[in-house]
Amino acid sequence: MKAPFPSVRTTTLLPSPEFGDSKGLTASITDMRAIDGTLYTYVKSRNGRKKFNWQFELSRHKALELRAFINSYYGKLIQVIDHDGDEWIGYLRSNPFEFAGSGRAGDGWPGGETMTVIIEFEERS
Amino acid sequence: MAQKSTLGVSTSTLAADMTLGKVSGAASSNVFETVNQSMNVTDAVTYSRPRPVSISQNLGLTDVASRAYTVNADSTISMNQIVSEFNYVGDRQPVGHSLNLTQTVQTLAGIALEQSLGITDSVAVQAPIKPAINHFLGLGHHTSTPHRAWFTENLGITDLVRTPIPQALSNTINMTDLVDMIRPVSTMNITQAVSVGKGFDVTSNINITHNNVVLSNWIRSVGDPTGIGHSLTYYSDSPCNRKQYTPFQGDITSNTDTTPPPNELQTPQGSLTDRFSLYYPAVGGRTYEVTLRAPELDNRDRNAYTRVNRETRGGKLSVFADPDWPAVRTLAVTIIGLTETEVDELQTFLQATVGMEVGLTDWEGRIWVGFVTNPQEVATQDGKNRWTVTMEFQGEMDTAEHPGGDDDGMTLNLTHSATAVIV
Repeated sequence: MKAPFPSVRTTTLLPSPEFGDSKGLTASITDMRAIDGTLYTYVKSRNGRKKFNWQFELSRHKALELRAFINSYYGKLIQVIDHDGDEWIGYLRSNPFEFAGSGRAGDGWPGGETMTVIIEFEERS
Repeated sequence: MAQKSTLGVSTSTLAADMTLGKVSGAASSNVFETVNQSMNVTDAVTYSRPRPVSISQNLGLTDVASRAYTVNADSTISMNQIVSEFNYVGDRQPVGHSLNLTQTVQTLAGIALEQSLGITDSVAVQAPIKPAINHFLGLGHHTSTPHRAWFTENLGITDLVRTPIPQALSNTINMTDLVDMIRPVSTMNITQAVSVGKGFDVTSNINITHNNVVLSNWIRSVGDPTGIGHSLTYYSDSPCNRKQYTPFQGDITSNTDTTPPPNELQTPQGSLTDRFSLYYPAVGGRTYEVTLRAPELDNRDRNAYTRVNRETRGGKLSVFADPDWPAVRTLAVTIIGLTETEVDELQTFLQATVGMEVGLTDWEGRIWVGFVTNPQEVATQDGKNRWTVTMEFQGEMDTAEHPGGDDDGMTLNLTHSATAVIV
């Protein structure tokens, strides 16, 4: 993740998210049926915007780094290059950002713990 | 014409010759006329006694010629004043010439006005007196059109003093250029040469003063309204950098309103323990304190921010957040395996400090300052003498270094503020 976009200065490197990540449109539809049975649909296409959910399992120190990154850029445009190499420009949408201590960790994980966090990200347009 | 006076005899002779001639055969309107005037005025004063008298000559000549063709209007004045034995020793009467010459040419086209005026005063002094020679020349050129006009002023001043004793030579030239909207240029060449039989200092004092009178001062400044800047970021992808605290900070010259994350991980104020302490007050000597075992895993560190989300008609998402807007950080923990005594101590502490700012030292040795948001949370007995409590603590991690540890009773002047948000 790089921020602030487009004049990116800070880069935070994260491991690939856990399985279970999601990607979807933000479009919404409201259907109305008239008295004669005609179906009307009211659409908010939202310009094809997409939103993403990524769950990361991080070391304690990396979680603190991600929290510091969020604390600085939670209202700024962010550039994300995902685990597939796709590039997205948008905002972090989670509120609150919840870091959960998920377990103990060995020496290879700085901080001695693992933490999980779910990041919701939504494209700008 | 003769006139008697007590001073002597003054004789004036006026001889005037006036000739008016016409060109013969000029019957039409084109008549060329020539007017010549010659006037000679001679004043002669013969002194009967050596008393100072004055001689003055006032002569006014006006030539007016107005024709459709090119004509010449010339005025020639020759004035000679010859005074002999006029000055006595001690009577320092200067010899003065006053000439007023005005040439005015009115034309519709560009024309050059030129006046050449040479005045020479020569005073031959035979006695050791100090004569003074002053020339005051005022030359003014005026033209009625600001276009195609050339002004030329030739000014030559020569002071000659021949005296056996040192005298002073001074030249004073005042040049004034009044020019609007263009650059005024004044060039002065002043040369002083003194030739004397004995060595003296030759001093040249040149005082040049430029006065710029500006009616308005337009300050020009260079701005950069386009907000052009540069930024640089980098990263090094390695397995360690995906685990360590390694925010890669580049450089940025624009959009600098955001404070980047710190480059270094904050060092805990205390050491890594398996204890969880609550105490009051947060800073200073503690009056209430309770220490429990470390909480279970699945503890939560919630970070809630205040943002404004907007969506344009075209479906573009805009998010704005001011860093000064409140951000709420909540620590939610669950502690199991407590004894009833510990539960009683905790509830006593919560009762004594409900709604007050307390301190918290977590199992990593990090110090927090805030308050417990759920004092009404019940403690559950899971087994024989096994109690479980859930606690939410809202506050901020203290970034100050506490000298001498966190429990030595030293008082620090720290101010913390917490904002409770009811959702």
